[in-house]
Amino acid sequence: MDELEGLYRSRFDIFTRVAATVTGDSERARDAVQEAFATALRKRRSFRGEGPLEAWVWRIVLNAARMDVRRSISAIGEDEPAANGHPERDAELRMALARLPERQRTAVFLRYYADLDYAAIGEALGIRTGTVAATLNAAHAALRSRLEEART
Amino acid sequence: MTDVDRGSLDRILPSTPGSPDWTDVLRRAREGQVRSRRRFLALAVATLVAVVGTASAFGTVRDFFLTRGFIGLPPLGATPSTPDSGELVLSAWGVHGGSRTRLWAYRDGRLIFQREFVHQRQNLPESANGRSSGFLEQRLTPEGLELLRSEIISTGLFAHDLELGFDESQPAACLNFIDVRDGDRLVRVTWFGFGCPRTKGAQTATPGEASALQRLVARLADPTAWLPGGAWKDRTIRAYVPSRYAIEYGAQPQSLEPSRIWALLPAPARELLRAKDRTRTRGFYGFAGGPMRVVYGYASEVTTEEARALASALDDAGVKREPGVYALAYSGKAPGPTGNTFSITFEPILPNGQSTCSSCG
Repeated sequence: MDELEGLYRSRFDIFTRVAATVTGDSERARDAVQEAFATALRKRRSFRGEGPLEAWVWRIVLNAARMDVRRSISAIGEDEPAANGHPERDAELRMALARLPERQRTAVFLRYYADLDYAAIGEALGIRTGTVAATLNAAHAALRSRLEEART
Repeated sequence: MTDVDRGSLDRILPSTPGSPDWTDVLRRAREGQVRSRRRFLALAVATLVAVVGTASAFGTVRDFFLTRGFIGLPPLGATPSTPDSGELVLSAWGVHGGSRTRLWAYRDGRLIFQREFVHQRQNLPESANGRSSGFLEQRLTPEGLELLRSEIISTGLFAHDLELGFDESQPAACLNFIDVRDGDRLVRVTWFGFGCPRTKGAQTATPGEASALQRLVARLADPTAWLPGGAWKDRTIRAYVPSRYAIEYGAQPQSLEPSRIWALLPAPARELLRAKDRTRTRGFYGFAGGPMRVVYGYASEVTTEEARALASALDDAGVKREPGVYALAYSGKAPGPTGNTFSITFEPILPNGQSTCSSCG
């Protein structure tokens, strides 16, 4: 099995769910992932192997998801999403994550959900490895403060 | 502690719709290559059409109808849909059988529709591509239009505006609506799928209401299948060729004022947009399950010729043209936080003056 196909099959769920944090919709996230892997297939010669393949693909996936958001900007309804029945603690975390700047939020999901290391996150987000650490620190500080605020 | 661990993130993320489909990835990759080749071919065809068009000015001028949908701007010389304005009698937005159909019917008999193939690509002969049909048009007789309208009214649900929420036993897309004219106003029934964002006033749909609306969406998704022959003035499916386009532009995640976006564009594009009136649009940006952040965009109306000139200026300046599965769109880096980008999308304007959102779902 080709390496790209293997990555797709083994990590499809993770790619799609993290992409949903950008698109705001899991159907659109799935579409973005499909489109991103198609782009990766077409452009695989431009992958120079300087970092992990997965980080390169993450970058394409996140770009595809962001593009999808631009396309759908006027489609999203004006109503706040309904509560979905998660326990209070998860709801607080979700709210706190939602208030993070996109880069911080994506870095959190790439680190703690997709299990990428700092170098791969840097490649995926197009930032230096040192900036990844600073971004995650800032995200932690903001989350800590907002969760404490929510619980007092 | 910030509670950020894999388990908690797993619980708050939305579930994945569907399973991996590598065949679909391969198909998209092939289509992407074909699209690139077609761009070159389209340029050659446009040049040829321009030559033929000029020649025809010295002879008989004939209508040039397109038998399949297109994305973005029509080929040079394509005959625009007439008349250029019309009164909307009904419109619908709903998902049936794996495709999202949007439909608009006008007093003059025009039936304009667009299908997006949301779950699986479909290569219909009249479609622009495997994901979108583009905007297509057929013509109804007055009797056909009334049959279509009666089909909606006969459900008994359209006496006044109504918002309904479906429960988990009633499959439906997140957002669906049907408008139907009653005198000088359109009555709208909106319904929301289970677990989707919904307005606070939405009542829970009864099984009868849900069933009637699902049936209606199925009927409106393909009127050709059930309207009798006499309902059609011209059943032939052609592309809807607009006379005007809405140029929708903005930046996100951080919104920018129009002047800051114009400054990013080549001079001909900047001057064209600056000279046009514009309306401000409001959208939302956020992540699944979380609160949305408000972002603002702008929309200006232009003729097809002006739209063509704008696209040409953006192409000449090397502004990135997006793949264009749903709409002609450009994007680029914008001032603001890392990742802030501007986008410019070309959307057809329908006969009732409404601009569309070609990829909205």
